Amino acid sequence: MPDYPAVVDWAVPVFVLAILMEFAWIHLRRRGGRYETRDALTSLLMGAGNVAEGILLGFVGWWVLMALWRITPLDLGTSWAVVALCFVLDDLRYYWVHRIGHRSRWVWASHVNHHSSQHYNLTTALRQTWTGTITFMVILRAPLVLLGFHPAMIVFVGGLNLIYQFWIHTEAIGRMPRWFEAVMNTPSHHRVHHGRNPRYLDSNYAGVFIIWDKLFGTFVPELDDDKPEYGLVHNIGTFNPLRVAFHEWVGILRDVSRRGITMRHRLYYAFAQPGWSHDDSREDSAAIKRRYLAAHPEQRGTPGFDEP
Amino acid sequence: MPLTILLPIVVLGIAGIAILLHLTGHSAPVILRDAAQVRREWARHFPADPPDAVWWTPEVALVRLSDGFGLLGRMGADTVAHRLARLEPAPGGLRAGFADFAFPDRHLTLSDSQRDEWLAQWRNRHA
Repeated sequence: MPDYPAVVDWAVPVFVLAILMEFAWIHLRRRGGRYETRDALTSLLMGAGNVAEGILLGFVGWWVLMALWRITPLDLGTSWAVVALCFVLDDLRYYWVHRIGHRSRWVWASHVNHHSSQHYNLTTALRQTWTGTITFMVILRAPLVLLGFHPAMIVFVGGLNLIYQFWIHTEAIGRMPRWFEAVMNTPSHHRVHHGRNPRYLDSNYAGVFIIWDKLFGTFVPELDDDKPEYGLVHNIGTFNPLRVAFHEWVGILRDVSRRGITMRHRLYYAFAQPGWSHDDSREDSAAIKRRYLAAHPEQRGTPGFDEP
Repeated sequence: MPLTILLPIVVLGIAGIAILLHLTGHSAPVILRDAAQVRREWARHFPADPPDAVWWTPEVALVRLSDGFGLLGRMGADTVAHRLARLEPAPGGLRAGFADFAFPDRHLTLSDSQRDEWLAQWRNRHA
């Protein structure tokens, strides 16, 4: 079995140092973002919990990938060219996992906590899920294994992907050079992804390469006259990490166990887009955009409001 | 990285950052200063649900809507808002309930006159 370093573990000291540097910059310059003690503490605890979940439950995903590895006849080897190809294809895999994570409530229940801060700084990057294993999204790694990429390599490049995404959670960096913004995910592109503004909902799912969003029609640029406002459409009212981690799962449980709804309704409450309801008492992102456009028809056709 | 190294870095890193933020004044909560701020903040959370009337203290605001009530409260340096499911007397003020796991019940510290007025508004609508 190829031996790759646990890169995320080794990045932890860098994360701490970078947070201190970003905070010092913001505190001294009085611009480039905001920090709040309890918000940051919650984000950091969510990050620690995510690492703990990986230690406790990571074997489940690993077992699935190794089971597939045993049945595939393909083995692409471990050359650096193969690692690079694996990194690119894994980023495509990340794009779709992330997109599903915003379009299916089952996966959103795991991912929602990452968007639950009204702040956007480097600690937000560490506000990670504790329940990723039970989304079963590991299955989207199956094609890579079956194509002949070793599971250890896939986990390694997944770690690199996560590390790349750390530095883009900042307001301290405006925009990168134009060529870089065209190809790579950047703080500007990812601020859009974290925006709760109607324009920015369901956009910029990229991990490393923003080209996936441009290819699949989900790219929205950051507009200077529509500054991203961070958080959820309906922000949560707690800093308690347990509530942050599990609140949407509790919401699903309450909805699927309602009285007087059909089995189809129960399935939709679990797996349809966030905001779906059997009686239209809630709004999904499409409805929020429609309502916004009804009030601001002049915005129709501008970025984020391209669809009729 | 061995857990014997990783764990102290995580624990000391989290604690150190939290202490640094607190000591440099980043724990200060938002203060509600006037009705305009309350309405502005409410609109940020519920743009399609404008208030009929608002009552506020520096910490929290009661918002009357066309079909019920909402509460605007502190979330650290920011505000957070939710439609009210329950409002009951409690020692030193009121207890607000939201029937939402993501939004725990809140104790509202109010003067006697504020408590009576907020409760009267609530009971008028829910009598």
